Amino acid sequence: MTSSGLEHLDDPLAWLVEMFETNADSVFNVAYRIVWNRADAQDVVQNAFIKALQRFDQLRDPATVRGWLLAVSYREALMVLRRRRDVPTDPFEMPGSVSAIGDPVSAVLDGELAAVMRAAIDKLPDRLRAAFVLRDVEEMAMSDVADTLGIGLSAAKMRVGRAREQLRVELTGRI
Amino acid sequence: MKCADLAANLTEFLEGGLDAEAEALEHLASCDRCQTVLVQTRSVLDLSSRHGRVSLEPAERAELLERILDTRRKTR
Repeated sequence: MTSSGLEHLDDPLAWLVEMFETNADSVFNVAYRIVWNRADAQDVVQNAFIKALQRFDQLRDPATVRGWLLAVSYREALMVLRRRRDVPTDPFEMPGSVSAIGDPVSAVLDGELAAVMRAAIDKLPDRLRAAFVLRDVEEMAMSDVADTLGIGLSAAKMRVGRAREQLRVELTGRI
Repeated sequence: MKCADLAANLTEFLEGGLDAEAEALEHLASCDRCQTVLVQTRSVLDLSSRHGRVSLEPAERAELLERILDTRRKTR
C-alpha cells in the first residue's frame, strides 16, 4: 500500500477493530431488520466480521469493506431465516428496547421522533424494508443495493421508491 | 410533465438521474401538491438517515468484539 494514510491498517487485527468500530452498527441494523432478534443479529455480525478477516487481503480498503459487510449481513440474515421455520415477521413481536444513535442529548430530544420513524420502517413489507434500509438508512449506492438483493437496478429503484412513498404516507401528520 | 409523471419518476429525480429533470423542476414550480410530496419525501429521507438505524447497545458491542477476537485467537 502506498502513502494512503491507511498504513496503520496493515495489521489485520487493528484493521478488524477499526472496521468493527466503524461498521458494526450498520451490519447489525441490516441483520436485525431481517431476523428480528438481537442475539441472532449479533451472530450474523460476528460471522460477517470473521469472514471479512479471512479476506483481509482483498478487503483492506475501508471504502470497499463496508458494502461487502452489508451484503454479507443481508445474505447471512436470510440464511438465519431459512434455518428458522417459525419466523416472527410481525414487527410488534420485536424487542422493545432499541438504542438511539447520536449523542445522548439529541437522543433524548429526538427519542419520540426516532421511535416513530423506526416503527414505520418496521411496518414496511420485508422486500421493501430491506431495500430501504440498505439505500436510505445505510446509504448504500443504488447499484450496490441491486447487487446485494440480487435484483436489477430498476427493480431496486422501484422497491426503494415504494418504501419511501409508503413511509411518507404513514408519517404525514406525525413528523 | 404532470403530477402522475413526477410521482412515477420521483426516485430517479431524487437520485439525480432523471433525464427530464428540467421538466420536473418546471412542474414543481407550479404545483403545490407535488412540492408538498417532495418536501415530505425529503423529510422521510432525512429522518431515516438520522433515526432509522437500530444500533448495538454498548455492552453488546463490547461483548461482540471480544467474541470475534476470541474466535480469531482460537483459529490461529
